[in-house]
Amino acid sequence: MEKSMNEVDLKKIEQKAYRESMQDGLTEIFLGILLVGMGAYFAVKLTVVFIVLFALFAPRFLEKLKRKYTYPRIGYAKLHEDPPRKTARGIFSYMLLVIVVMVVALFIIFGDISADLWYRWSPTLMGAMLTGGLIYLADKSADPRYYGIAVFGLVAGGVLSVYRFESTWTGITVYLLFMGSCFFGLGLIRFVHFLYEYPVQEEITDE
Amino acid sequence: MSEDGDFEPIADINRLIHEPARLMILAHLYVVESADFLFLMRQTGLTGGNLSSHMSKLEEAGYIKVDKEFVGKKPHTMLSLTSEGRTAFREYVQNMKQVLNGLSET
Repeated sequence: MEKSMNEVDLKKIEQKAYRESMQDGLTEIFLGILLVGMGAYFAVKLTVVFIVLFALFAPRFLEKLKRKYTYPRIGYAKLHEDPPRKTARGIFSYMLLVIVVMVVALFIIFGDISADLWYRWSPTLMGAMLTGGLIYLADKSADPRYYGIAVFGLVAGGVLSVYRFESTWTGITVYLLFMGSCFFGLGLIRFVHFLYEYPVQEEITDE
Repeated sequence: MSEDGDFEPIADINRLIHEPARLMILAHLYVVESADFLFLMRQTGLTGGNLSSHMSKLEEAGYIKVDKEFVGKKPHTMLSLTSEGRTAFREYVQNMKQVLNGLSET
């Protein structure tokens, strides 16, 4: 469908608003904590309690942090959200597609789909899942860095899948801990930069 | 101007929206559900006084809804586009397209 200048410009304004709201790095920090928690699960099974609690309370806690650190600096905008059903359908379809592609690819390359093979290639599967989320973010924000992180995540998954670990779960554990640490570190750098770059706007008045 | 030299699309342009600052405010509010005063100031590059004055005109026209509240002891202003404002903005965009298309054909 041909897009007019106006539609393109409005899309750019929307992407800028989205990009601005993401520049505090808090989302990356929370994603990093979640991935590290998931990685730790394979070593300490009890962390499943932490993962569930974190997933439940993270949005509320994230919003509290944004109210304290982000909105007083750059303001607040409630962005349009995709309908939950459409989002869920999109995530489910993408996950299904990734699994089917992986099954077909593994069958073509290795000639079977054993559980061992599946465990071994789970970092690539996880990398492909993350790639979907990051491409979505890149499209919403028009920030090409998300594409770079997506490629990095996918390549890291591929490398850890090719490397032969002794234990079945080591590959995915290392992948989740590594990517979680990367996201956490990246988010922290962005957050500190954000605090320095944007001082609290106390004198702003609309009167 | 349309093909038959009709000036009607130009006459139909909403002058309240046509002002650049107000057009920016409406465009930014069009792509979000709501935004606060600080966010709009940063996005549009307007000063507080300028934004406030244009905000009042748009509110008087019924194009935007302004909600004032207190967060702690500080005043906080949230702005959102009304359905009337959304329609007016869309119509403005349509009219401008017609005008610009007409100009490019000459």
